[in-house]
Amino acid sequence: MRAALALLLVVAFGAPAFGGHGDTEVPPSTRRFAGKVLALGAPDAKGDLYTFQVSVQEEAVLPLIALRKADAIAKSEFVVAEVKSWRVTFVSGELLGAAYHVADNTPNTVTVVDLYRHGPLNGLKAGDLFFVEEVYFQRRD
Amino acid sequence: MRRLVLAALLAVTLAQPARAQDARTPTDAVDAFHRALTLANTAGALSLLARDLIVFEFGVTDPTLEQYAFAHMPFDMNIAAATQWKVETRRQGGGGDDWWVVTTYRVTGTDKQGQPIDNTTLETVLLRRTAGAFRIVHIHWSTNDPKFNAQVPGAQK
Repeated sequence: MRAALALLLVVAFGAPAFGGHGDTEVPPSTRRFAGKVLALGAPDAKGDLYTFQVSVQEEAVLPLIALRKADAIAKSEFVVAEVKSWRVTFVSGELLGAAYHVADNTPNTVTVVDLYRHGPLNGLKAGDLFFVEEVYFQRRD
Repeated sequence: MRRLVLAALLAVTLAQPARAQDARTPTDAVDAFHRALTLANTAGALSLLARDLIVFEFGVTDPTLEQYAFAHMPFDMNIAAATQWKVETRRQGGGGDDWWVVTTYRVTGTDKQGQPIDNTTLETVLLRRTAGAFRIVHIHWSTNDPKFNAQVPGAQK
């Protein structure tokens, strides 16, 4: 499964790059999953989208680096509610840069709430990439 | 103590919705980008990058914003959180909507194995002003650390 996800990511980006700051090993600044949208969920009664199906990988690492990094965790699914209340940010596609609060998750679906006011997930497409990070929303006073 | 300070900084930053940041000057944009990396403010960092971004990072090219964001930005956030970047020299230039900022940083910290990180990192940033706000269109990072450079395939040794 891990190889399949790595292949998926290689396909997504073509030939992987090496180097960069990634060659200096430091602890992750926050717990983070990288993931890919596999399919869109059903829209709500208004026709707005807030759910999508995913494939995930612990920590965002380049595919080939992931395969040789001892601390890259091999998993392609979440534990139920594992990333509930975390922040998901899209890093490709129409929603690039948009962040959402995770309302709940199953092993392979994520449902969000628009606490960051980026609107619904309309425009999301299968293949879009995202991070889910252990960052909690805080309201302004 | 450092964790407490970082947690406090995170709390302050995360109280702000992760919406586009409007950098009014080129150096504001550069500093805000580094701040967003340090605070793991993914959306904030992305909001400071132009859609046609290209990054040269220690001998590696990220030819698109998407590739940088997915492939390298998490590393940069980890590094930023684990190190201190002190500006040593800075120059800016340009005019109209196109500007550049060239900065050298003294980067210090500790890696995962407890070994010290201490190098000079060189940074060239090109920026474009759109709708009154500066966005980064190109970043080029390199370092004077021969040990680091030796690790990068294709880099000069």
